[in-house]
Amino acid sequence: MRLARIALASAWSLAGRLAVRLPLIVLAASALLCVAPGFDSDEKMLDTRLSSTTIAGIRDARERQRDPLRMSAEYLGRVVRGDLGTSATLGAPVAQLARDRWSVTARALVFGAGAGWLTALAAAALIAAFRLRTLRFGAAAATTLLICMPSSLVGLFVALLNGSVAWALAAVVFPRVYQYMDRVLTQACSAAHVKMAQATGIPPLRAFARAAMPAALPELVAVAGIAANLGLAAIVPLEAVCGAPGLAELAWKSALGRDIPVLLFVTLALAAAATTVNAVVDTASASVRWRHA
Amino acid sequence: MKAARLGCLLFLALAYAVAAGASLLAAHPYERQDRERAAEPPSLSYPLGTDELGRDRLSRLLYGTRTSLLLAPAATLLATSIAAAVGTLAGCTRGALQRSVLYLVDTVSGTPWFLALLLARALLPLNVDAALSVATTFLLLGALGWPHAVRLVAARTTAAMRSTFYIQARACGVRPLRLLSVHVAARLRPVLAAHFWSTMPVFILAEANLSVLGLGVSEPLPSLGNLIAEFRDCQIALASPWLLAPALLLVAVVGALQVVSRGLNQSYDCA
Repeated sequence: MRLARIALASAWSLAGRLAVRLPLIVLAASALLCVAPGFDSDEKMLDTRLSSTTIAGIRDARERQRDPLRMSAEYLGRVVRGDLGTSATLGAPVAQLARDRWSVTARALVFGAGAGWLTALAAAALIAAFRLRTLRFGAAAATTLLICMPSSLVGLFVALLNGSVAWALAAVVFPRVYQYMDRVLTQACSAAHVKMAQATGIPPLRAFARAAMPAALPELVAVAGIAANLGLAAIVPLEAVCGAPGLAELAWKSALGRDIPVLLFVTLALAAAATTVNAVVDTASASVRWRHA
Repeated sequence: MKAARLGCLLFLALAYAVAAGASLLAAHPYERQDRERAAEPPSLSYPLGTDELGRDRLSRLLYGTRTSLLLAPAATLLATSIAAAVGTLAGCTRGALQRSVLYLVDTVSGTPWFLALLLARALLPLNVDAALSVATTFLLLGALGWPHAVRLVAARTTAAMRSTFYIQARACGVRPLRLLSVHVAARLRPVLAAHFWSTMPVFILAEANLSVLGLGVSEPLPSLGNLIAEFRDCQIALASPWLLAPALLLVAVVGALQVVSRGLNQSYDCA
């Protein structure tokens, strides 16, 4: 019953956040579009057959459209009706492009962020449970090196080794998530009840699993949200350099071609995904905290 | 650890000195093309070889270091200033206004940052002057990279305004502006300094990512990012290890900044 209440509250909060965040993004994009160079230009103005009065009329009509509130309301109305616009560079409906590509990005995000989170958890757990100095040193060295590399460079190295986007994403997520997990698990293992368990002769793995892990579980679940957000931030350069035909690669190509309908849709889609993932992680973390309270 | 921090500081000082003196140290202008010696391996006249247009890689590396290292602090200063202003406003206000400001900040920070950067950059023409592309890239980074410190600044501002010395200063009739600039600012300085030092490497990496994607600094002006982009052709990369020089320099500089910022954060925590 309590779990159902937590889930309902989270769903309500998620709906509220999406209802505020997505229109704000559209409004900000419309405002930027209105002040962007070339907004009041139209290809028709280059037609030499048109008179100067007609060209002036076309320019005035474009000027009258310079209203961010009206633009964003019209766009959101079209989105609600299922019309996501047409790509200016690819000449295809945005909805169709999204349908063809979303699974590539979703797979990379789930496997990549998941693999990064699991690897970090395994490394931090082994180091905390068994106090493996060599592994700690190796993990620290790998973390330091990977954190100092831009994600596009990580992607280039993984592509050199014929790896996929998911592996590159795991390499980007691992060092940042490992640092949090190492701190959380080391603190959990230095708790009095864990030291007591070890002192009474309980094997380190059992003491870790039964005494330290439950205390650290809510924070470890919350770190999964951090992993997902890191993945969403890094997916664009990674898909671009690895040449994976996903939504993020589409966003990059749209940015190069100033294809605003596609870029705006991908931004909204990934913002909605980030908000949803954060809400799910918050709910999971609250549930775990309640269960172990 | 102190020795490591000192070593990193010396390395950063050297890197910045080289970046500032790029015009004096570079043997050739970064845009000069020697078409007869295109795609050459390292030699005496071109220590890091030439690219496919015959431009000296070492000169481009020196100028690229200047672009990346001198503008990242400027962008970070802008982001930190915005975070300070918005955080102080949130900390000074109460009730619905404070909740609205923080809700807006959460909304901004909840948007995938890199996509927002991509969207903003795509709305500007891509075929701009190189100097304008540099200014645009770093202005965008500064304008979008501020939300993460706002809550901390707001919490510190609220705590400072509840402290006894603040209340006493107010009771003595000190004007609000002086209260903020003298009493609150002193408490915010460590947080803002920590934000500055930890954000600078993030901005250097973000500029590198944008430039690799062709959305950062435009040619012919080099930056560490668009120099790394040459690595995209794997066959060339495997046969020409000297192409790694910009990547190694970037990793070294960002690593040194991380060590220095960690040390500064620890000293602020102890203070």
